[in-house]
Amino acid sequence: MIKILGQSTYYQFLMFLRIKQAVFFSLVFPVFLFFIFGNLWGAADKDYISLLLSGIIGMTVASDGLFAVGPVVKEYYASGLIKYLRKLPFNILWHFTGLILSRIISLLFIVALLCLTAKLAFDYSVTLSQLLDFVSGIFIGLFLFSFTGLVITFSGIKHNSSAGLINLIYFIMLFTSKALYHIENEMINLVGNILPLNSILSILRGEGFHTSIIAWLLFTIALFYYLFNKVKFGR
Amino acid sequence: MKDIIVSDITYTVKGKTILSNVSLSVDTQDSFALLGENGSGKSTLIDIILNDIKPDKGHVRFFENTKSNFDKIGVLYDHSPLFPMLKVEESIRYFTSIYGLKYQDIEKQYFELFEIQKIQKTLTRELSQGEKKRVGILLSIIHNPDLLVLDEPFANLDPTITGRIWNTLKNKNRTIFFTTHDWKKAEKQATKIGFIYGGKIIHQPKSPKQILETLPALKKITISNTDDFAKNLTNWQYYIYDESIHIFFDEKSDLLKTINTLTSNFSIQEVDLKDAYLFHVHNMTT
Repeated sequence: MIKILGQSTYYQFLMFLRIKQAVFFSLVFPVFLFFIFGNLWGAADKDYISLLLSGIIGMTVASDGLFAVGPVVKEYYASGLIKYLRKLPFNILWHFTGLILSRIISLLFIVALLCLTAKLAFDYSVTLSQLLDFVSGIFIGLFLFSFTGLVITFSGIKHNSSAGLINLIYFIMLFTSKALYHIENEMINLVGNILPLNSILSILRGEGFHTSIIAWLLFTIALFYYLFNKVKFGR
Repeated sequence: MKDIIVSDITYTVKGKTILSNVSLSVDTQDSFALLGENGSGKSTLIDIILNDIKPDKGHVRFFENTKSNFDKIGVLYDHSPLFPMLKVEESIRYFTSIYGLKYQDIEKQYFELFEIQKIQKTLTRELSQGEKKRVGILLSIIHNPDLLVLDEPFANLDPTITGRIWNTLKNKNRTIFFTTHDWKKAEKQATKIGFIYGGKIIHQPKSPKQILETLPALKKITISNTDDFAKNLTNWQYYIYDESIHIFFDEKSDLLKTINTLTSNFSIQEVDLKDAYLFHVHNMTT
């Protein structure tokens, strides 16, 4: 099974690298955003650069998880590939796990690029402890957002309505979160704290692990498993 | 031994009956072709057989077991199960690793037969439909299954390699259940034919020869269905299709004389499976 997981991860990563738009938005865009925002609002403010760096990593983890996993799996469904994968002598979750791991590899590469940009553009050095926080946040965040994306995709799979819903959830989550700025409004803060991005940002920023993440993870994984087994392949 | 047993399957969608009490069985080593027009329920039945759709009633068994196990079954869907952004050899490598097989063994055994060398470095999305079909068929047999369930295996396939691929599929006396729109090929390749119309099996599955023998004659006269010719044909068996009347013709009968009095524009042909299907549909609906 480890070999299959390795192969799945490798081929999913290869597929990702062959889609130019995906490479641009996953690799180039976060670095571009970091560079622009950092220069606009915090070139001399190391605290803001630190907040922005972890915020952009959190934002990228959320968008990668929500958009790069669920919709891909939906495409498998639409093309009939899932029907075929279900006939193979392996648990299909290994294939999806490979997909998530391939995204983790690309995110680790993004983190390296962002850290390099922080050093070169803002003379900001990332510590080893921060790096460990980033890696932890990426692993936990990507699994959480991937399963969230899968749940949204599979709950609306018959009605082709998931793309709009994922966009809505992503932007509500992003704008109520502490990814790019501090939030003073209590109501927005409350919404942001209920949604999972703030908890992931806490890990990325070394502020600790919120137990609500476990609840989100268990809930989304269980719900996806239920929805996936319930999917009827209509004609 | 029965490799597939389909018992009393009924499937409805939003009140519309797609399949109605469908039962059939496929014996070991049979090549069973399920034939029917578009929308007759062929692909839906394949989906139910492959456990992709749950029927409202009835059940399917493989190898006379109650539990479905696809380890010994090769599957080909109408659309090939391929990743668009992977090259052909990458897809095959991935599937061989899932089956725990050696890529080199598959390459040696099948690449020449399926003409994979020419396309192995090509991205799947750049393949033609026929090339995708070849890869799809190859993937259905790489694990050397005992039973193949194939939806439209000949569609888009280059006719020059169809025979070679079929012989490979039939290798080791595999049982094959397939659907096709190529009725001539079905007549040639299948050992048993089942007809489906309006979600019902309309004739007890038989060999192509036996099916043709169920017709009133082995030849037919085809005339254009103008001037209401059919009312003059009360003594003969016929069916009407595509604005033509197809009358079963025994050379001992005086049908030819009658036709000559009606028109000089007709043709005489040997009957085939399509005639058998349409004749049975005609009998069922009139």
